[in-house]
Amino acid sequence: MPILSLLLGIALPSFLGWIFLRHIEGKSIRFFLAERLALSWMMGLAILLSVSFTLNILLSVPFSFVGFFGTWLVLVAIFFVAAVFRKIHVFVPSAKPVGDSQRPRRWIKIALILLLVWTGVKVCIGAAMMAGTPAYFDDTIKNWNSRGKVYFYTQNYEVKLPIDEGVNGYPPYVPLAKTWISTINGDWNEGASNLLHIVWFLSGAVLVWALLRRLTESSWALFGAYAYISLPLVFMHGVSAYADISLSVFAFIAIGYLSLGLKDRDNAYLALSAVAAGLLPFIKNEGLLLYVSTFIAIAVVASLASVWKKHMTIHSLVKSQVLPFALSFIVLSLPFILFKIMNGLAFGNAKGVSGLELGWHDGVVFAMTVNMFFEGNWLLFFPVLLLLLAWKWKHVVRLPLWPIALFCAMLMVGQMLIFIFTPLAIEALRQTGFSRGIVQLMPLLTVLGVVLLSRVFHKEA
Amino acid sequence: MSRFLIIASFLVLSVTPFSAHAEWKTVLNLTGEAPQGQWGGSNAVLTATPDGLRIQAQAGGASLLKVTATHPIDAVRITFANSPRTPSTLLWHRLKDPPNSLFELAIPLGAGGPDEIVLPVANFDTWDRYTDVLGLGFPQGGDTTVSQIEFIGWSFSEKIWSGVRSFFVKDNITAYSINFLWGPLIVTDSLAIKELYQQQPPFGISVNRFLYALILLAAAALFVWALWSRKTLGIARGQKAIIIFFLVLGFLWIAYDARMGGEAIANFLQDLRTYTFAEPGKKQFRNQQNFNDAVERSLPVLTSVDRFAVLVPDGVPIVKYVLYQAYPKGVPLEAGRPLSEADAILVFRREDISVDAAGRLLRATSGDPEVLSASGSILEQFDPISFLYRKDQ
Repeated sequence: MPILSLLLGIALPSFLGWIFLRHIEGKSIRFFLAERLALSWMMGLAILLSVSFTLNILLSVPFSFVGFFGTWLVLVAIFFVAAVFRKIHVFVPSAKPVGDSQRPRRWIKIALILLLVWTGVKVCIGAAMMAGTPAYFDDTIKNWNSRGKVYFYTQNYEVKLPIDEGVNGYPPYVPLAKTWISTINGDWNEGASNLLHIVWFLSGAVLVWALLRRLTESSWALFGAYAYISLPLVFMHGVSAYADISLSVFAFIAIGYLSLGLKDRDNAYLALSAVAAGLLPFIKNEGLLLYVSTFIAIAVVASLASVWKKHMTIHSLVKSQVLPFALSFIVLSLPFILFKIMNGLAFGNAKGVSGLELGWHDGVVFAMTVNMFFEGNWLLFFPVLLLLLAWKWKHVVRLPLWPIALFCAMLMVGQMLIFIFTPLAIEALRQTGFSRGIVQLMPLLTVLGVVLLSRVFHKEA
Repeated sequence: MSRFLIIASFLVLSVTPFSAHAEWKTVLNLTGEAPQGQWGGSNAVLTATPDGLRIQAQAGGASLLKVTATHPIDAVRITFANSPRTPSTLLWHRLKDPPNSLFELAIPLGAGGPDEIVLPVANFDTWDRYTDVLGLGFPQGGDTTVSQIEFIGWSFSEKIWSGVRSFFVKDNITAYSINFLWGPLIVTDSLAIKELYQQQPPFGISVNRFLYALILLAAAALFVWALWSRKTLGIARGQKAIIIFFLVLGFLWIAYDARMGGEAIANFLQDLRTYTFAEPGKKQFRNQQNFNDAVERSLPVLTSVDRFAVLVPDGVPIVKYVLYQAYPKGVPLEAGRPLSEADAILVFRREDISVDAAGRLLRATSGDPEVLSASGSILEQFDPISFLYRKDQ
């Protein structure tokens, strides 16, 4: 049954991810239960699929039930034995959020309940639609779903694709996840593989809540999760078989936990952040071309500043960030990068980025302005965010917000400049690449906006 | 309670005069020997016929009408006795422009037969509600018979009400919905409401402009209130004003979410109703109509033959969907190979392709039809111009 296959397909990698997270946490417990489940799923699945990919291209281990399950079993055994060796308990109670400084008012509780019920209704109907309707959007058909189907039937990572050759340079995370679910199901099942996207989407919402819960009161955290899901274009991606939401969650883990780690001087958060960053190239092409380099720039600056202020030593910097990132990148992402180089596959989405002529492109600034302020994509998000950034700028330049703000600013401004000054302007004029870039940053931008908003009320109430 | 009744009564009475004249209409009947209106133009011959005013224009010709409507014009309805088969445009003159300076708007073409075109012209920036000259232009020439022209205008209160109603008109999910969503668009007449989102880009004003205006108004009002409280009453209300401002923002956010979330839910429920839970043979999926249903019903054949082909309208990117669904058992005909080598062909919305009595699959050309496959039969008919063809073995 597809639903059982989906549940098992979620549970098995999550168990792997759970043990991995326990290694990250070490002797102390940090993660809330919902947060732990979301992180376990995201990290566990990525580790499983990346290792499965590497074993397939190196040793021809097939994408079959035996191949996937054998890989999973070996990984679980390795992590479990390592946990025993390090004297880490795998099954522990989760951390509980710190209580609110004052109880939220009754009308706020009622409002939040209503908003969350409304959100739940939307998500459930969206899930029913995903499970019961055929693939519709272009990239779903020619890339994410068709590749998942090809890998399922051939049980191999194919370079030559029967439906669209132009997508063979895209990272395999999303399609392999679909292959994984269908392998457990015993047959290709589009509905079950589509529902994975809702799981990624909800994981992102849970992680937004968890980070906000550490930085604000419970009401704000719940409001933040609601606000994130309420963004219409984000919601559309959440209930569609595209890869931008899954990238957004890994980018969130990378930068969100970097910020938290720097603020709390907590090596566990920093290590998690580094591992997630190392995985980015395995998720989507932008992960390598844009996100990893930006992450490294911010992490280096932030970490060196911490060392200079004596909040951290060089030794702990290397142990908590450099080594985890290097290990993650080399083991989980580099195999795919080398595979692309050896097979001459493209690195850029849609069009290559090298050799482009620079020049001003008319209409791009207008198109971006309309997209952000005069369409239904983001509700009132950007005007409110700009107001909050101007008003509460002092919070933006301090921890924990400055890495998030700087990361988003660098990527948004960087992409805007690319769209304005290169022939990739078409991606802005047609509102394709530009919109996706914002979707990918939205979990981080939501945290930024909600924390600043909470500071308004915190001071003014 | 009595204070509420007084205020409510005042509000109702104050809008009553506005609502008394909701819609104005001027109808010009062009049938018969004496079509109404004063007509002129250039490079066009006008002839009165029982069906309407026949306009035979050369390339670049135009026929112009002196507008005698005594009310503002927000929409124009043109009824053609025969559908125009050549591109034509609506022409109009703005009062502030020189006499020969005209604006134009392309008129959608019909497929054949009587055709009524409604043009919600007030939604275009260059329209003049008090235009004195209206006309039809024929860039490539043409022969068209117009049986009636209506000029329609609406009162201020009707426009406000239409604006409110247009907020709730939803867009459908289409190929661009994964990249952007238009959001609510405000138009000010009931005819434009029917046409919303039917053309790309759609006309109408983004509701965001009104929301920003409301937000600025709220900010200004709260600022004044806080300032007045401090200066006049000596009460510091700045903090309260800020909280109220953000509560207003929160309310608007939730209202906007309700609208956009409602659009998403309505679209998803429509998908479930028209596709997921519909009977095979009657399934419709978004703007692809019965395409997915046709593919699903064709798959058993497409995946059992040696080679299959798909014929769809030029430029419509739906073939990859068939390849994706048929994979791995279905093997498509290689590019460049003749169609006669395909054992089964899915033909979708191709009115130029048919099967004759001898079972030959034919494509209409300007001369003799081209034979695509020598003998076979239609296994399934999905609609008048879509079918599954199987070559005889």
